[in-house]
Amino acid sequence: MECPAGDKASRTSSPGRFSRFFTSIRERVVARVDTGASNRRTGAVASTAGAMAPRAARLGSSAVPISAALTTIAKSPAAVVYSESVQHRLEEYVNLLRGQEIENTVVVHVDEDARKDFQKLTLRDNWPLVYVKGDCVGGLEEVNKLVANGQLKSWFQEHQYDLIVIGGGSGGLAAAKEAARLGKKVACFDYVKPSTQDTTWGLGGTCVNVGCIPKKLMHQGALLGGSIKDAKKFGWKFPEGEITHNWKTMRDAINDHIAGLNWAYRVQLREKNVEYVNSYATFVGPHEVSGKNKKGVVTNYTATRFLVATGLRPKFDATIPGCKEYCISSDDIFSIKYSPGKTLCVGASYISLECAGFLKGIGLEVSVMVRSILLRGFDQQISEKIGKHMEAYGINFIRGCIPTKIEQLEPKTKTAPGRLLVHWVSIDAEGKKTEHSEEFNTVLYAIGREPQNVDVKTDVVDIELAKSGKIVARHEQTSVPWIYAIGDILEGKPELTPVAIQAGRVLARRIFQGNYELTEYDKVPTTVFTPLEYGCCGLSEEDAIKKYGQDNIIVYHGAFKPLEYVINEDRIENNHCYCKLICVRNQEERVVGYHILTPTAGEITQGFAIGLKLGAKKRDFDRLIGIHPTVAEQFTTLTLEKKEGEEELKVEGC
Amino acid sequence: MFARAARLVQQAAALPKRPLLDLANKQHGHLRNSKFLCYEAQRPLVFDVATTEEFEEHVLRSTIPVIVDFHADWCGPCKMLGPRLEQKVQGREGAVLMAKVNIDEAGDLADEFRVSAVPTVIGFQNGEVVAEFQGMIDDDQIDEFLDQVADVPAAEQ
Repeated sequence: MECPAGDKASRTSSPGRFSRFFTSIRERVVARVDTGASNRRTGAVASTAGAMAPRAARLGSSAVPISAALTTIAKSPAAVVYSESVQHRLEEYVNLLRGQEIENTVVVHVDEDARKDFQKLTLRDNWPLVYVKGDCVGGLEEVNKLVANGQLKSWFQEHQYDLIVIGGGSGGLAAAKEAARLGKKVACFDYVKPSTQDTTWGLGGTCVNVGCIPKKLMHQGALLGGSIKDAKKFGWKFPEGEITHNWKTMRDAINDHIAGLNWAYRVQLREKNVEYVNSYATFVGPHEVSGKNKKGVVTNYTATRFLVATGLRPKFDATIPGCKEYCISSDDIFSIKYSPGKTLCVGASYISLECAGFLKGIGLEVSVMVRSILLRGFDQQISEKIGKHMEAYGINFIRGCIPTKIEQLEPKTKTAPGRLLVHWVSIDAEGKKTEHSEEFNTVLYAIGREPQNVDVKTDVVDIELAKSGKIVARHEQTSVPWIYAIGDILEGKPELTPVAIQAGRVLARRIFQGNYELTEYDKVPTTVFTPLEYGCCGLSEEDAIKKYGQDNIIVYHGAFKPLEYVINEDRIENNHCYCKLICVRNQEERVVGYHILTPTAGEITQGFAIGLKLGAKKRDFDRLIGIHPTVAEQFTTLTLEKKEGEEELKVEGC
Repeated sequence: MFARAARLVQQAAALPKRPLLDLANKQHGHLRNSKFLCYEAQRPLVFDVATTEEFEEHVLRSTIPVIVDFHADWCGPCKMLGPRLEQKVQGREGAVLMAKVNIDEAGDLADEFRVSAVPTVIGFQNGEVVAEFQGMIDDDQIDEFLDQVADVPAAEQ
């Protein structure tokens, strides 16, 4: 039930009709949250007030529901939240805030259940809980710190903007637009520091410019090459001679599309009243950022709140000579104007494998150098199957090694990639070392991504960072209460565009409207766009075993041939497609892991993910009747149990 | 350079209005191939504009009507429309000029005129917007548009 008095609460100091009944501290506060209707725990209130007449306890002194509390807090300059069991220093808190000349501090009384909800929402243990301008600060200790360092004062100064977003990527833009939609004054700073090869790009972030979008388009470009071979078997006539691929045609078409997106985002920001500043922002004051653009023009803006959504950039290994100087990264591959030629992809990440995949698909010679396992963090059985498929696809894997040196034999020009000599050492089972070297035109480093904006942590704002350099947060709130973080820069959350977008929108609504919405970071479906795509949602088999125990897990699996590929016997995918469902025995075989290795895995996985989110059991998948003929229907008829030590599944007949 | 251009424009404006070149006339016929010169102000008929200052100088303060082609390198329709517009403008022999604005290079200008889709073509007369269109249009429509901008009376259309 909504508290109708949310607006009334803040401004007037109203002793009102009830004050003569109160002997508790509540009568001494500046303003109170009025309650429209009583909540469940009115009884408890009466007992605290001691000798309060029952009639007064019922009227206007009971705990408010959490929704009313949150909407009030969002609109109040300051708020102190307490419940029955944690109000012993309430007066001290209120006096402290009043002492800071914060008019209209609101005291919010919630019941014990709501208090637990507040704890989950804020991930804080200090009670009573203090909010300043809608941002949770913590307890007395935190408030005292803010008073001592003067930041509480600057928090209450006039600011130019309600929100400044730093980073115009998937998360930043979504949050900026949502906040503007809610009527807030928003500015968005976006600036791309050039890559190690001097590549830059426009507004939109990694996904749009050097991630998801160009990757998927090049993946598609490569797959079309395979479709042409299928087409011949289906009766299509092609002119004699080899069918070749032109890198520049593909690259230009994709980059034109991206430039169109950069422009569209600019227009969108303008139409939604978000000010776009193409400058690199750094904090110069607790509520102030300064940005310098390419022309050297400096912009200083102040805001009540900030959102850091600066994302990540490719890692290099500075200990390997030639690594940073001569190698390219995913920042560069999608926009280079000449074909990369014979390429070495260093790394076992999905970035390395996806790039290797489409480069091979368009006809280039490709090798992948991997230090240990493939796709760390993903299901290892499937990861190894991906490796096997890519080897059958014609990619050379160099396992168990990293480069020791990269030399330049011929520099790259405007029209050609040049020649590099890569050295590495392999160690066999007996420990014998062998030195190798091979010439490549291009070496693409994809060993991971890291934050590269250490200036977000300055003397002025002490934002807590994890060891990785990412930002530590309580539900996206950093250690500085008015600064939030979302997207890849956030520690411990999936590095995915839709996650950042969702987090941005939900956060904007939560802090500006005051509600209880939280982003759900679990059971996020995802897909690796290797030549044979891998879609998954939920736990890997290893994680499921760790969480529930080997005996409590039952895995149903199957191998299959996509019907579209049966005509072309050369299709290697026919021996590699696979799927499995990981179920928990003692939870009625609830499905906790979904995995499929197949063409168009991305499209298939999205739909099934809703089943996992709703807690589907194996029998629900069995009840579901399949669509025939498809690959996805496999999941409706899985009967084979995966047993330890058994042979690789072979595809059955039709 | 801008100061000089400004002076020229002022001078041109101060001169008595001369009739346009009559290229059918033997006297001016030899200029038929000088499609790139605007007789009155010694400026090319088609030129690039990259900054707000250039825009004010050559578009807003032009005594001759100017159409502004907001375009982008990555835009297919722009690449088709641009050359056709140029040809038509040159065919008007100085009655109307054409300014080209690349929206990626002159983002601020595009923002000022709230350009959202490209190509967007805006016609100016004495600093005022008199006509505008977006996207690809065919030759007849280009003619109509240029008539509107150059203020060609209906009878002569």
